[in-house]
Amino acid sequence: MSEQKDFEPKIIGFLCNWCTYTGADLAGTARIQYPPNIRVIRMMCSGGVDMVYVMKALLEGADGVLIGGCHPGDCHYQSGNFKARRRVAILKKILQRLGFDDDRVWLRWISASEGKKFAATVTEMVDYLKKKGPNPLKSMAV
Amino acid sequence: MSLAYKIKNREEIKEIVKKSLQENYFDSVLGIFAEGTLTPHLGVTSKVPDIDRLMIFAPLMPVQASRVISNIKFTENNLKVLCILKPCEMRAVVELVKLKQIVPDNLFFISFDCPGVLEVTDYRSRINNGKNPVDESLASLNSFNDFSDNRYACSICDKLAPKLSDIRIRSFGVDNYLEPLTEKGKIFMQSIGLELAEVDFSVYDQKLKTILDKRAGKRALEREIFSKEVNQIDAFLKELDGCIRCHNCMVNCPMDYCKECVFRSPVFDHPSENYNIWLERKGEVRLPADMLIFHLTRLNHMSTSCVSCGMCESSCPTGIRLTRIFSFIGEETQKIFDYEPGRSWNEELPVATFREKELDKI
Repeated sequence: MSEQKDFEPKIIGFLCNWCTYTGADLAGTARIQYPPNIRVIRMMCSGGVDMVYVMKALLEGADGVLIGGCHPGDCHYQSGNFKARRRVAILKKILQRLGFDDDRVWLRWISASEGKKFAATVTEMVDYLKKKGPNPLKSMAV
Repeated sequence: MSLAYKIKNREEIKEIVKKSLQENYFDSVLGIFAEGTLTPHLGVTSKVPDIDRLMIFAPLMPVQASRVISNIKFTENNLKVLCILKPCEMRAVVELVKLKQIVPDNLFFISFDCPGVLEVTDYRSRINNGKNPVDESLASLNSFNDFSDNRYACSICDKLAPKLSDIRIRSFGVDNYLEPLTEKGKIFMQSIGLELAEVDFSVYDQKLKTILDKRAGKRALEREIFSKEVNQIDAFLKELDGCIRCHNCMVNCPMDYCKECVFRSPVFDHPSENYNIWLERKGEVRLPADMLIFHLTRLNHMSTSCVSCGMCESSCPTGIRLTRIFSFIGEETQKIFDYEPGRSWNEELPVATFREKELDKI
């Protein structure tokens, strides 16, 4: 898809309280610049993200969904991020199979000390989505 | 060679069930019961004379028995229950045990090689037209044939032989056997006085394979058609055409057991201002809203445990071909984890477990 002028993708972020959310906080306090396209929802754990809300965001027209969790092995609740990874794998398989854009859903491990990585991830995602174009589901009556 | 007991005829099974009740091996029996000219129904009884009405090979599945078993907490009243199940119901029981919705300690499972069943509406119209679907089904069993014109889900079912029940009834052909599959089954059969002997089932298995192959062939063909027909959002929406979001598919699915399901909660009761936004952004809003996300959510939440029983389709008032959707997409999500619902007691549920090193590319 061609790059559209003035298209600012909207990203919904489900960030884990212990790692990625704190990492986002660090990006802020360290004054690292990153695009303001992400709307953050703080979760207690990436394992607490029910895929129904990820899909709801997509069907409502979010251009991307970023699920941020602790690195494997670092989960505050031992295994939440591993379970999130399986759920995302199932979700992506279903989206792919039915012709939805599964590449609009990103799962990333970003720790509390990785403010830079958080900023870089959001920047990368915004660039990717700008190239990809707006979510066609936004105006679809579904 | 496997240990088995040869029954004189299918009626003898009822005598064995009666005896097990009389001698207090079990407190009650759960299975399908006939009642005059009414549609046979799932029931549970502890009265011996009721067993006369028991239809072990009933050619219909009015409800998924596993769903009913999970709703009745037999453990709370300590009833020892003999459950007579179809193989897909047995597979669903296995899944529900893993999901901690059934405690199997006091339950004993008998299942049989299943020729397939009819939709309840089909069963009734046959009765109304003066036919006898029960005899038709038994005739196909006797002649070692698939039950013709069975439900769609049955016609593509290649798992018609139970693997994990305590006793398997080898029901095809004229010579029928009871084969214990577990230690529990063996002990029961011996203690009730059924003599077990080594039986060679190679001819039986070979004949059964013809039916399995036929169904597997149809399944492969249907899978291919489905993957060609339904691989875009528009096609998927077309497939769901007519959905009124009545939730029947969810209510009758043995895997949708959650009391806290988002679709049983007010999560999707939207405030009216949301409709303003949608009217502006999307034009017409299809009502009741959230039809697509309802099906997508079910796919996400239960497809890894879908046993392909087809109850979703049987209960759909608008005839949406849900079996295709859930059985075939379920197969793909199960494949990610090399999992097959109801295959083994020990395999962990994909969504309840994890491996440290896996799915690197997600």
